[in-house]
Order: sequence, then structure tokens, then C-alpha cells
Amino acid sequence: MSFAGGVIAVMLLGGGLAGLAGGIEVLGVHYRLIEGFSQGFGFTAVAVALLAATSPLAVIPAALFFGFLQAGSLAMQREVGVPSSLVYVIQGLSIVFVLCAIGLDNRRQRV
Amino acid sequence: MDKVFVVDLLTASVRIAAPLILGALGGLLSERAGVFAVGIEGMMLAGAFGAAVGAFVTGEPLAGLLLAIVAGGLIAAVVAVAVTRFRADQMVTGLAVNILAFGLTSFLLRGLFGGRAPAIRLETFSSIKIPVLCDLPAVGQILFQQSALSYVAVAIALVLHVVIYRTRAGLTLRATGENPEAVFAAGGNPNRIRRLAVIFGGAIAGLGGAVLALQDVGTFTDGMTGGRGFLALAAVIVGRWTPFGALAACLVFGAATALEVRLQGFNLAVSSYVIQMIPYVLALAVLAGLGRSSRMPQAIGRAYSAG
Repeated sequence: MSFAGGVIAVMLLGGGLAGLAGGIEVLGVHYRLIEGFSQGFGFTAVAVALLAATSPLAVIPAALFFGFLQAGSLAMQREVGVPSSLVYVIQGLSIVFVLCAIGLDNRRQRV
Repeated sequence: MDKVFVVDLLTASVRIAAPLILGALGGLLSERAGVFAVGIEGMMLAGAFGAAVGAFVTGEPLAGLLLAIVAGGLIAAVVAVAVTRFRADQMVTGLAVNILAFGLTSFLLRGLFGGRAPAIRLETFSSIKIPVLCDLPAVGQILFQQSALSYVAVAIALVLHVVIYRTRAGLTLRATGENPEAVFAAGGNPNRIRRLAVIFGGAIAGLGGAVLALQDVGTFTDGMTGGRGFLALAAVIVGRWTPFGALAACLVFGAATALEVRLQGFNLAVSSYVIQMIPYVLALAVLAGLGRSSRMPQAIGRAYSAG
């Protein structure tokens, strides 16, 4: 297989999986197409893949972690009035910390 | 198309391009030092937040501008430290700070004002007429009756061009993006140069956010940059990593956006959502057409470690 062919095949597969995620969200959760329902989902998904260190099985607990955060943020806003957007701060920071940890780890392995 | 329409369209293009130009120049500084500038969106958003809140609380637009620069620089500082000190992946760090900036601005907007987002209404900057030049037919209205920060954007492009190509600091900056080992061998500190470039870039991108908040809209809303940071990033690449190239690319994207807004008013038999795609389709098409260029800083994306 050529390099370009490989890239195109992987992109098609990846896009297909992402499309499947959107389809399930519409057909199985909302039962209707809401404009902009997937706002920010994609970026969070990148964070999930990263947190799982690109291991397919580790994606499940990583996705659950972000799911808990998201669900908890709404309850937090309802119960104690803390703005739910705090969850994005936690998400962003946790990704940066994981990246830093991976970066440091790579360095140690090289030395 | 009559003349009034064209002049009006081009005037709007320049106005819409101003925040993009500043965002792109900030990104360019970072990329020229060898650090991907995916976080521009977040830096611009933080800048817009700083500008709106600073101007709202003090009643002084200048305080807003200052806070915008600081806010953009702070988000950039997170990137700078993560990618140099900790060798974090540059692309994903950029994405992460975009999420961080979105959450932080939205949270602080409510947290700072007792739990509810305040209704911020600021008077937007009025246009400044450059004497004599503003009376030129057509060109005068398009270029010389813009608002203050649009002139600042062009001025910063000029300054960056001179600094990058005509000064020793600019040479070191470019060398850091191309070959950090050579800079180290010549006695420089590539990681320190990268940190400075990223933070300065963030400050400029923050100013771009301030254009949105203080000059275009007059308020702050959650996620108000709406992808402009990514458009600015595309402009850096389309502009071949040069200040004037990025400036031109931003003007083209500005024109596409201005055209999009006007087309929606024509009641065309095309969905307005399709028309809204114009600037992004254009960016994608130009990027695909240009392909991967050898002009890209050679060491971009690669962490540098001494020794």
C-alpha cells in the first residue's frame, strides 16, 4: 500500500467512526437533529484519545472520565451554583498535564 | 455590481480582517520559532475576554487593551512552558489551551461577577479618518477611514517584517525555527527564544481578540472567536509564514466573509448555511492547492533539548 493510500484509508475510517458517533447521538439520544448538538465534542474526543495514550481499550475509561466530568458539571451548577464551564478548565488542564508527563517520559527514555 | 457595493464590500473586508491579521501575526511569530500555533483561538478568546472585562470594569478602553495583551500572553505562557520545559506535543497542547481558554473565560465571566454573566455593553471604537488620504476616491473609504486597531494591525505587520528580516533578533528567531541546534552552537538558548516568541505571539493574538470585543462587537460572549483563530492559522500557512503574506491572506478571508454576509441578504435560492461555508471552503481549497511547502520552518513541531 502506498503512503498516500494509507493516509486516505485511515482518514476515511476515522471519519466514518466519528460520523457513527454523531449518528448514534442523533438516533439514539436526542431522536432529532439539533443544530450544533456536537459543539466541542470533537475536541473533547481528541483529549480522550490523548488521555488513553492511543490505546483503544484505554479509550473507554478515558471517555468515562470526561463523561463523569460533564455530567457532574451540570449537577454542580444546579446544586451549588458553580458555573458548569469549570469543567472545561479541568479538561484543558488535565490534557496539558498529561502531555507534559508524556513529554518528560519520552525524554527520560532517550537519555 | 455597482461601485458603491464594491467599495462597501472592500471596506467591510478590511474591518473583518483586522482581528485575523493580529491573530495570524501572533501565530507567525510562534511558528517561525518552531512552535505550532494551534492555540491562537484560545489566545484570541482570552484577549477578547480581557478587553471586554477590563474596559467594562474600569470604563477605560486602554485598560481593556492592556488586559487583552496580558490575557493572551498568559494563555501563551502555558503553551510556552509545556512545549519547551516539558516537551509536550505542540499540536495537542494548542488544542488543550483552546479548551482551557474557553472554560476559563466562561467561568470567570460568571465567577467574577457573583455567579451570573453581566450584561457588558461597550461603545465600539469609532473610525479614524486619516487627513487628506481619506478623501481619495474609493481607496480613501476602504483604507483610510478604519478604526484605530485596524491601523495598529497593519503597523504590527510592518514592524514584524522589519524585525524578522532586518534585525539580528529576527535572524535568531528564524534560525530557531529552522535549526535550533545551530542556534545553540552559536551560543543562543533555543528554548528561551521559543518561550519568548510564543508569549509575544500570544500577546499579539490577544490584541486580535480585543479588536473583536472592543472594535467590532462591544461585548464578550462565550466562545465569541468562533473559529477565527483557526482561520488566522490557515492565513499563516497560506501567507507562507511571512508577515505580508499572512496580511494578504487575512484580507482575502475577510473579503470572503464580507461577501458571505452580503450574499445572505440577496435571498438566493441557496441555504444560508452553505453560504456561511465560503470562507472555510476557500481556506481549505487554498491550503490543498498549495500543498506542503518547503517554506515551512524545518524544525517546527520538534522539541529541542540541549546536548
